[in-house]
Amino acid sequence: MKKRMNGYLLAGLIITCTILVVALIGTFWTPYSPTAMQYGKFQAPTLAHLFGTDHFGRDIFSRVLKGTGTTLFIALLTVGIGAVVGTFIGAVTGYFGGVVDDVLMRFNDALTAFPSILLALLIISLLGPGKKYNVILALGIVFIPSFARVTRTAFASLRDTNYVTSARLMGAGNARILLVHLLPNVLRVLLPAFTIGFNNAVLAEASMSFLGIGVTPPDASLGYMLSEAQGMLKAGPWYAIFTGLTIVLLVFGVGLLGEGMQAAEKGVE
Amino acid sequence: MLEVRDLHIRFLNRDREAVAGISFTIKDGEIMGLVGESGSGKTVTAMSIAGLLPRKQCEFSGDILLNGQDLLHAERKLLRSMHGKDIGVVFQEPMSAMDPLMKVGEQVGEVLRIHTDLSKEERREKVLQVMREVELRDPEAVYEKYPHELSGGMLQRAMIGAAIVIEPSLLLLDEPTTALDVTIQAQILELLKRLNRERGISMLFISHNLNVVRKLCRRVAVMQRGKLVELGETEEVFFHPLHPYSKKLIDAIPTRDKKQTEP
Amino acid sequence: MTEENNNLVLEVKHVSAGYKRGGFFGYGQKYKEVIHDVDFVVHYGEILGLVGESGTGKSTLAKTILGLMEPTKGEIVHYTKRPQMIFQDFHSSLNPAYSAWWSVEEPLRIFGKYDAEERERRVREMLTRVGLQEEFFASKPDELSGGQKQRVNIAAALIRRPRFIIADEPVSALDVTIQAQILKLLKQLRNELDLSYLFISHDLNVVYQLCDRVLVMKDGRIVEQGTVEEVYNNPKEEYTRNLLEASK
Repeated sequence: MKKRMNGYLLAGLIITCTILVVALIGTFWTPYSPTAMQYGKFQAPTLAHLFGTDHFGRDIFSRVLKGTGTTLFIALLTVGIGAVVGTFIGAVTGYFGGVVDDVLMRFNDALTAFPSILLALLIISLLGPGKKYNVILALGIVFIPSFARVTRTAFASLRDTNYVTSARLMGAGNARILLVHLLPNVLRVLLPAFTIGFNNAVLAEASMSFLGIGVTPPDASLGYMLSEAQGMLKAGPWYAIFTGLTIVLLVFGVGLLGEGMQAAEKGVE
Repeated sequence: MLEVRDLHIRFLNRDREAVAGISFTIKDGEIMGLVGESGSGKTVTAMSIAGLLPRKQCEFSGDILLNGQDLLHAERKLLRSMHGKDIGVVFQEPMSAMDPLMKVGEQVGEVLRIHTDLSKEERREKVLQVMREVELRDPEAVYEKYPHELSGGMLQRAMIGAAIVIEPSLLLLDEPTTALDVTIQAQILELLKRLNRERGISMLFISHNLNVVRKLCRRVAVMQRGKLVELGETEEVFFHPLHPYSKKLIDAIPTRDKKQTEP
Repeated sequence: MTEENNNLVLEVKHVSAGYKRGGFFGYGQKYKEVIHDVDFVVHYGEILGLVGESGTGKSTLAKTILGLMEPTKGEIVHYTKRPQMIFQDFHSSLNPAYSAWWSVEEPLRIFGKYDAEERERRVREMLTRVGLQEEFFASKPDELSGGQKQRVNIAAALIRRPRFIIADEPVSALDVTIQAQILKLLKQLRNELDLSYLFISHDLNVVYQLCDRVLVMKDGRIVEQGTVEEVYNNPKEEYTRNLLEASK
């Protein structure tokens, strides 16, 4: 399949890569300490403090740099867990079918029936709140069903293709058929699902932090910062504006990327 | 009756013309065959005659005249009014040409609903009549059925019924028997012959199968890469092909007359 | 093994087979028998045609012979190593994610007895033998024409040097000139590589051209069999006569 460049893909790549670079820089270096409270409260954006300062007198630009990294980290790991476990379940159910399929997919349906935030809340309260890795795990579990459903459909539809039958006739085992013959073809449908899932993860993390069950200080994710910013909307609206814009840009960029990959797959210019 | 003059069609994303200047005519009451392999432009030709060409995605020139009326450059509205009334179309896959959620009888009568003021009862009467004519057994029962309840052969009969219910002057048949079993294929060909004989409908029969064309058509046109390479009496083309491509096509037909020797 | 059996590649002994459908958690499945009491042999070096209209169970029979389905009655005896299959729908016979070369090499990788150098030699030899030009060796399926795809499929089926091939409508979806080329190739390969074929087709003329003997199948049963000349010139069953008449 020839991958063709298109406008969506190009714009998506530029935005996403820029944010990635920014997040990477933020992990190792920020102009000011993101947690130091010594730069004067509620300062409007200046050259020294590009995004201004917050109610504790922290530099918002530094916090956004650092927070973007945290958010990316959480979202990537979350989707990673969802995609890997979901693909595994999808492969087992879609490829083998039968009773395993019936049981696992009914369980999947049950999971999907809960609102995802509620489910995540439940899992976090079981795991113990306030830890970053618990948030990741909880969100990851919430993301498994959607990936399982998408990949199950793909595996099931490819299971009976002639090339799989051929491979079986040649003596290929199930593991080889699943990993070598089917997985590359399933990845094509998985990549767009991955970008959509990533965006959902960013937003889910933001809503959870906003509700106070996400990350806790001193960690700062974009979502947590947004919930902080809510308290100072009047005194310092720039906090909410810049944090919100960063989230919007991130989601928009990754959305374009997914759109672009799908278009490239279809060969549309 | 139908005249195609110097027809050129090129799709915007392609370099080569899909149809590169073809001309032919179909006389009143004639069945003309159009043969060629995939990519030869025969289906694009049919689409342009049926007024189904996606005009925004291609460049086209030439003339297609049906009883003196220009079809290629005509306005959409006019084409719609002609579609189904003057030209009936039958496709290869009867299953995908039908609406799965609509009763077969209603689909056959759909053209009548659009183009005539007949009442529901009159339409039903007309549909049953045409179903009898295309030799559908028990038309009353078939009328009430949905497409998935019919076999491929019955569906194709219903499609032919739908195409002729309003008595068009031209019937376009795009590989109508390719998806069918040989015995059913033979029955459909017999039906088409009879309709041509009794009703005098002219037909353009498009196929990649020369054997089938030979059974049905008096004249045949051979297309290759968008060009008409040969046009003549079917038997003449069959036994004395002038163009090397026609000869190649005819030699490639597996027949029982000549068992080829081992290579 | 009797003396006579040395000349056989396959024996299908009174085989019936069908599908299980429906059910919930494995319970309440219904069984529908598709082929009934099918009995025939394939001789060494012959091309045996199998004709019949759609839905008569030709493909089910092929799957049962290949071991993809279990016969519910009867027995299937192979006298050669595992047969390979060439499919009608050549679009889905090649993995879209991989090149022509990869698809032909894959059976050898699965086999695992040859090193990379030997595999390359064999793949190159086979792709050349089936007439694929070298510039297409690295092409993905969607860059190949229908005829080229079918050549690659044939190469992949033959790379492990089976002696018996089941070809399920291998040329039905191809243009008539390409069809003639592929049929010629199949004949040529039979002679060069000592193959026997079970050639499934609905096109009686193609079967006449290619096959030595022919089986006529109707509603899951073999209703007539014999040499092509016998059956075509002197059909015993009315069904066969109808088929022959219709495909003249």
